[in-house]
Amino acid sequence: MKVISCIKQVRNLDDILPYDWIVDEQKLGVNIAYANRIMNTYDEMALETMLQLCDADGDIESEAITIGNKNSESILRKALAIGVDNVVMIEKEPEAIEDPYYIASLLKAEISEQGDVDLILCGRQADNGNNGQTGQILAAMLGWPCITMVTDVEVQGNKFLISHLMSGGIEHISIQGPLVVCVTQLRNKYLRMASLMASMEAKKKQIKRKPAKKSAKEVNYILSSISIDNYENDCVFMEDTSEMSKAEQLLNLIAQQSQKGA
Amino acid sequence: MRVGIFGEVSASGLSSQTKAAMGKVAEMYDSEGLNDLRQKSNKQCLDLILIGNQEYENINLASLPCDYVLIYDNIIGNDAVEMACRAIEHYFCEYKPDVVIDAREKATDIVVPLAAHRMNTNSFLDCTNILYDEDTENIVIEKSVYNGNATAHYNIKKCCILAFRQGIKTKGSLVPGQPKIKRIDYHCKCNDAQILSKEFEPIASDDLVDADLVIVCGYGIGSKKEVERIESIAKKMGAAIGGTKKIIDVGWLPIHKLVGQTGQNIAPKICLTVGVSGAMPLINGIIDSQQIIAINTDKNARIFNYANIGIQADYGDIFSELESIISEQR
Repeated sequence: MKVISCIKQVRNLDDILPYDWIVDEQKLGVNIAYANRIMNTYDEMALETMLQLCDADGDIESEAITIGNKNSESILRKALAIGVDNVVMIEKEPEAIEDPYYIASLLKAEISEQGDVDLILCGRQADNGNNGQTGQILAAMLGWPCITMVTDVEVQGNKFLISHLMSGGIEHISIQGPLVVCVTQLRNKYLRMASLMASMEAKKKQIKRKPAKKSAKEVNYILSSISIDNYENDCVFMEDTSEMSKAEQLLNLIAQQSQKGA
Repeated sequence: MRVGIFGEVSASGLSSQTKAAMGKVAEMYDSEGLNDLRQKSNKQCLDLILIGNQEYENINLASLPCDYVLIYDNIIGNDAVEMACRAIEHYFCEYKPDVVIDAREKATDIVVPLAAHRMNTNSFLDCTNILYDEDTENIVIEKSVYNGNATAHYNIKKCCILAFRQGIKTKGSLVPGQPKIKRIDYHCKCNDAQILSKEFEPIASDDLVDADLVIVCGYGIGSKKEVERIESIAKKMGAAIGGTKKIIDVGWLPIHKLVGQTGQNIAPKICLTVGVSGAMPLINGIIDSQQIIAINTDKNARIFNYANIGIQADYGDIFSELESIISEQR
């Protein structure tokens, strides 16, 4: 069985200082180039889900695919270090592609070429564009079913048991592959980290490089502007008294606020 | 201009998401530019489209705030996604709308991109507003980017398909109309061959989302041991506990406790932050709290820009005092 996880490199928005959220009107974007490059949070969760499948079944072949350039290698090396069998990079300047239809078409071309894929995992959405559609469009292009808000995946013989969040509960779906799932927060699970030794080993492993075979098609929209929403409160500081007094004031505030809505 | 909203209605009226979508379109139709356009040519139309063969006789469709109610009651099967896509495709081709909005509550995140792909157009999820641009005479869609730190405005050149963020608020007033009701003569059967079985497990809502008091831990608290200490005090206070992305990344709390743009957006009565610096993705996830109380030793920490009440202190000392007060009270 072959499972693929699609991962994306993004800038860590936690690194951006609040006063740096300034729109460059000409580039129609915010300069976030100084922030560290990280693996997109939801994609990391999708990768973890794939590795848990591999932990449970040693016969599963795992692969991570990204679209990017030399700078994007670090997330593929990380994937190798935490246990992914193969990694593929579709070579394209990541800044040039933000349209989820284009991203999905590049992934579709690569996955169709490989063939024999049983399951594709994507993160729910990327931190920068917040489109949240790549997995669904990829499934539509492949003609496969898609399940979103997935929290757990199990392999049961030749079928999959997928758990996904719905309003008011979790739905467990038994489904035959191939299919695409979009992963959200995993309940009571932790992301694994690479050991130093594994990271060193990963540097020696091969990254398969593939040229981007599709060019972007025309879109029906134009990004006309970006605006920043600022909300600030006038913070009232507790008087400079003892810690004991501050703790008492805090408990009083909590009690008052609880009574308000009661 | 023609807008089609795929919505839901029951004997108690329109669903909240359908109402919100109609309110947003009403706001757009009331805008100055469109009012002028309406006076020049009376080509403004709002369709409410319903899918499924429920008993509409018990529902007062004749006073719904739209121009047409179109009912697709001959699409049957067990594949709700395919049923919705077929209806959208048919409506899209027959009525040539300027924009299609999916305001149903289930599977919109799959239906919207899938239908748009089939219609060779574009789609948007999690939209926050719809406007009319007088200069280009196009519809403009607003949605969050950069994890909610900014809002992007997309000018739409050709009909696209979109869904609003769940629970979106609107100021648009919905005036009861006298819509024409039309049953669409379109028959198809949609069954999913790949799904073998489905089982729904109701769960108590996540304590983090429903709690009145949430304590959000930041990396500043220093160790997993400290998170466990705060967790035990939180339990005594009846509070839920959440963490910032960094806390989750280092494994001090499980992933479903992630608060912020990539995790859960919370709106408790009180959100108490400890050891949190105040990065925007986290702020976006807690900003709807009725009151934010922040504990940090650094008076210049960003979190104080967004907090209602600030406590400049070492959280460890404050929590030790809290622990002893709570023990005494018991």
